[in-house]
Amino acid sequence: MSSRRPPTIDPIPAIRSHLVEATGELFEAYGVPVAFAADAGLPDSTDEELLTSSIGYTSDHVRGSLLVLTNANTARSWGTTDANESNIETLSDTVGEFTNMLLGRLKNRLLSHGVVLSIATPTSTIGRNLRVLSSAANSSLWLRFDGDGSTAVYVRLDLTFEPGFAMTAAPSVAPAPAASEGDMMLF
Amino acid sequence: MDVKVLVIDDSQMVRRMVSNALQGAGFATVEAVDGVDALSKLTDNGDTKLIVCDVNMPRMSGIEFLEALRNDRKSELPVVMLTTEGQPELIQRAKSLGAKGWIVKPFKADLLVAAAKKLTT
Repeated sequence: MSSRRPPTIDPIPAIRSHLVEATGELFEAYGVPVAFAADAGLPDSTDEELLTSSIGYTSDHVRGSLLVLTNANTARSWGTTDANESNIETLSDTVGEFTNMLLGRLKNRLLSHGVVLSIATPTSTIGRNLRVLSSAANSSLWLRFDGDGSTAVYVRLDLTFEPGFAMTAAPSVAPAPAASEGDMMLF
Repeated sequence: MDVKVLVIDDSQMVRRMVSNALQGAGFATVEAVDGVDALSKLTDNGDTKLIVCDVNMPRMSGIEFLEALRNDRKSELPVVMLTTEGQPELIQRAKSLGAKGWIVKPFKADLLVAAAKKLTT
């Protein structure tokens, strides 16, 4: 009898693909579609007020953090706050929750690859002349998404893999599929 | 008198969206920022009929709150988890602690309201 080992794949392109798709789906669900624009980080110099939120994660195989960065006008366009209540703290909370939902979506996608992330809670920052320094992680994905009206969202995912980690290809039929976004189950 | 729902989430954005949806359907809401705050709010709001609870929160997570509610408070109040998490093991853990529902964000307001009505009548 032969033992069947699941095929393995290069984790970086696979995770990047999941992140691009998950970001598009998340903003589409909130009625503010964005499109992947480039593998690009924050411009070197900008004096506009920016909002960032980052969330750390860990698992048996990989650890790191997810960061979402945008400006106030873009966060305001996400439409989750009343215009007269959209002060900077409220907008910062909104960016934190979008970061949380994005990492949750990524987690649900990685379950089918045998990667189970544990997710921390968001830390948010507001400021001008922000720079995001290079990371000590094995890999960093910097992605820019553009929306309507010259809005932009930057997403950065830092990843450090444990030695010997091999990511399995997603099975065609998940043995216990994760619940999907928008699903409701009553017990 | 309006049926009271306790909404627990560390995100102000989510608390407001859930409260707006429920208040629009005639429910009254009380908000808490995490599990510790929720236990305190429950003490002050003994007429609460339903709890809508996030999972990943600082200080006390939604699962830890459920454990405290069932084991320490001996409460059987219906709880619906509202979270980004979809991991089967977490869902099973919540179910074993007596959660009545699991909704993955972003939620659909009409489904949340339907669940709230079903669990409070």
